[in-house]
Amino acid sequence: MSKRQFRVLAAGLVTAVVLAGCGGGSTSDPAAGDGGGSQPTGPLRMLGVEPTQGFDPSTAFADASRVPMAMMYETLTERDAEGEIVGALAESWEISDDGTVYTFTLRDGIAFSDGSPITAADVVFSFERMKTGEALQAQLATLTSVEAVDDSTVRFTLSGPMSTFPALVGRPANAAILSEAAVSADPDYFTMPTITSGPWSLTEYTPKSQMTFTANEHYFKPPGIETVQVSFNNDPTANAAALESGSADLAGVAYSDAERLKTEGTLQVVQSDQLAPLFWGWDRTKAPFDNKDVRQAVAWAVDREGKQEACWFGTGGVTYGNILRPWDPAYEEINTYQAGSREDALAEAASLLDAAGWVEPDGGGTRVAEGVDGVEDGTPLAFEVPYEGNWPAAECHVQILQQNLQEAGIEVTPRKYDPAAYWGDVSAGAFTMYHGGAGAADSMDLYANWFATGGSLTALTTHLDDPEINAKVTEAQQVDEATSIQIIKELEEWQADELPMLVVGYQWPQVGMTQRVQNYKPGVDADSYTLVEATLSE
Amino acid sequence: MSAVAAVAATVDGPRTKRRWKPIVGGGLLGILALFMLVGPLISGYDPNATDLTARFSGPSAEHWLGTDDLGRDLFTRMAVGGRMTILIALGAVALASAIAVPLGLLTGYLGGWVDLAVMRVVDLFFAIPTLLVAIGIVGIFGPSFTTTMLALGLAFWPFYARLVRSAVVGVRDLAYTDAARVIGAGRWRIIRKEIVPALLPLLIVQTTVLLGFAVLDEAGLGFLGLGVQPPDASWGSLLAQSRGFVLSHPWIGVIAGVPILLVVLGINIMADVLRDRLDPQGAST
Repeated sequence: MSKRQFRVLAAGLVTAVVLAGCGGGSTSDPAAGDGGGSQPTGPLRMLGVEPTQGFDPSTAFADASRVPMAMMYETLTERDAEGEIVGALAESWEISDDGTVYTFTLRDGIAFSDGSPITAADVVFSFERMKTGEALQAQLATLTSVEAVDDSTVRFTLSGPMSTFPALVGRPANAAILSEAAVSADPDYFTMPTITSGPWSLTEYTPKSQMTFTANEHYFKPPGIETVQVSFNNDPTANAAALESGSADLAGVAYSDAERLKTEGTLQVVQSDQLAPLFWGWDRTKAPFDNKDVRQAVAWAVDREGKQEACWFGTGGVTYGNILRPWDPAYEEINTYQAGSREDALAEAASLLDAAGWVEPDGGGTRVAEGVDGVEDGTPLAFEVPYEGNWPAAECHVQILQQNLQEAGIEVTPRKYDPAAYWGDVSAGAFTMYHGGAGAADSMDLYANWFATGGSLTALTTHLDDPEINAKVTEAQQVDEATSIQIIKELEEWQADELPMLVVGYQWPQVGMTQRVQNYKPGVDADSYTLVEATLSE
Repeated sequence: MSAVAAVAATVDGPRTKRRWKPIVGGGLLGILALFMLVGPLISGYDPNATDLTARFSGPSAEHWLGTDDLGRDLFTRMAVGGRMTILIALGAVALASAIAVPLGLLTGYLGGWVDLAVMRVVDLFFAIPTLLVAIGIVGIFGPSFTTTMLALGLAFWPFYARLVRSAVVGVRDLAYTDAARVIGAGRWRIIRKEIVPALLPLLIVQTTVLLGFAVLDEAGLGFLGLGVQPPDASWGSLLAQSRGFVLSHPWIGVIAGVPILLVVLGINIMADVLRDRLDPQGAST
């Protein structure tokens, strides 16, 4: 059997398994019987994860729910393919001289999927609901009033200036504009939302199997693809095989597969430019990570290039202090933890651990406590590090961490964790140290949502509740652009030293597509802006 | 074929067929045992030590079975992983036997409500696939070496208990047990002295067969990510790990899968050999 034959056979087998797993009891499967891609047109068949947090934009913050919600709910603004804020349901907006009043004008003739008009009253209803919801409550704290000036004009009044407000009202999915009539009429509306404002409507949802979206004919910019079918698949390692066999058109692919597919050239493989830092999170409320020296020791001991090469196959990048990437306006290179050699890095780590009271026992091995506050002397510096069980790169990354920290005298036990419970337990502070990765649209989005108290991802990343940092983040949103950049630079320097989380690099998600898919480029956030512009070839 | 040759083949055939079995089965298991015991010593590699400069290197003089995605030596990891798999299988079979044999003996010999109660519990387990029982137990207690062993042991005992009970029912009323009873032997003495010896061939063969199933099920659990956790290796977890590279580096999957096939084949052949030796009446030809 030739290598090519082997691959085809293997791809077929894996695809059969994937399809068996994805196949559900739905009888309205629009792709059923299409012979694994033999039809030239038809639905766009995507592989994705199940929206485990449901479809309520005020409570769901995980991308698994935000991505499908962004397909069916539209916001006032959105980010285009380059990340610039542009109007979505709002055609334009004006800002008062003092930066506290934002007046949005809705597009003419916009309507929900049932044809009922989208009015300023719906916007008011949606934002009043958002203000009490978990997802944006903290960020809308400065919103003192929202009122409908007329049917197509909405006025927002803030307690202080906020330059990021146009971006905030465009936060994909969470800042959704809902139909007041539809939501008020049905207590179970969010179980199967059908009257929606986005480019597609959810027309079928079979739990554990798939969901189908149909283009919203009343959307202001008709999508290029009429029907999108998303089959749920938690195993990204099987996605490439599904694409190769023609049973799926669009899916995120594992990095190992992305490299191979790029070389073979039979599929399109593109990467997302989203700012998606990879980080180690930790519990700074108790030992050992309540001590900055220990956090910095870990920062010295981790091998960043190695993990990027091994686990992300060289895609993405590494960082030795920054979170932001070199092309961000607020980027200023920080190389706090870059050593001349591995030996030098380990020496720095050893020195910091000694200073923190975690000393090497006679004969070497795992360090033990000696005079550490709240820790009995002799306690080994050992802990579990959980990671999402359905993320192969995370499993690889944690194993490299284990090897790296072993060299520094820290014993790590990798723990594969149930993906459905993972982020909930992170939020609850269940882990001493954990692996993470998340996305942000830009530097302000990152610092507002990861560092400020109540930010949408703060509880999952930095766990910060620091009034000084909150004040800095707020100030950065209230001042002119140059001053804002300067404040973000200060925050970058602060986090590199304090390490509320340890960012070690970035991942650039790889998306595989069959040749049927045209004009698609992954967006910079969870929005469906770029998917609306995609088409399927005949 | 002449008549003489045909007769000779008939006479020699079964004997010839039987002769290869212990050689092949024992040989396979012997080689694999040797591989697991001394493999890591002769390779000289730490099974968990990563070498990111040697990722995905194919079989070579330096790495006899190549390396994985983190540059770990596959020969060493297969050997150490094999130990894990075999230990789990042995532990699981031991646990299953420890539960099933006494229960099977008691229920088969005593009958009555004890038999009724235990067999209904067994029926309950029969209604659920073995692997599903194991997955449920691992799901509750979390994946680890010990949990996998316990899960498989607890999943296997009902089948074994039913088998032992059936065998006891077949033996308890035979003339020699009746004779023992007549001369005043008590229940425990009859079980120990008359019934258990009669069941020994069955127990030995069944335990061996169960060992093969335990290896396969450990591989199944490991493949599902519910067995030994990374970076430690078992054959199942190595197979699962290889899945991510099945299209780009297929040899890793082959290397991870072949030992499972060989060890189960070896165990099954040896179970057949044992049955031939211990139960000549039911011997295969």
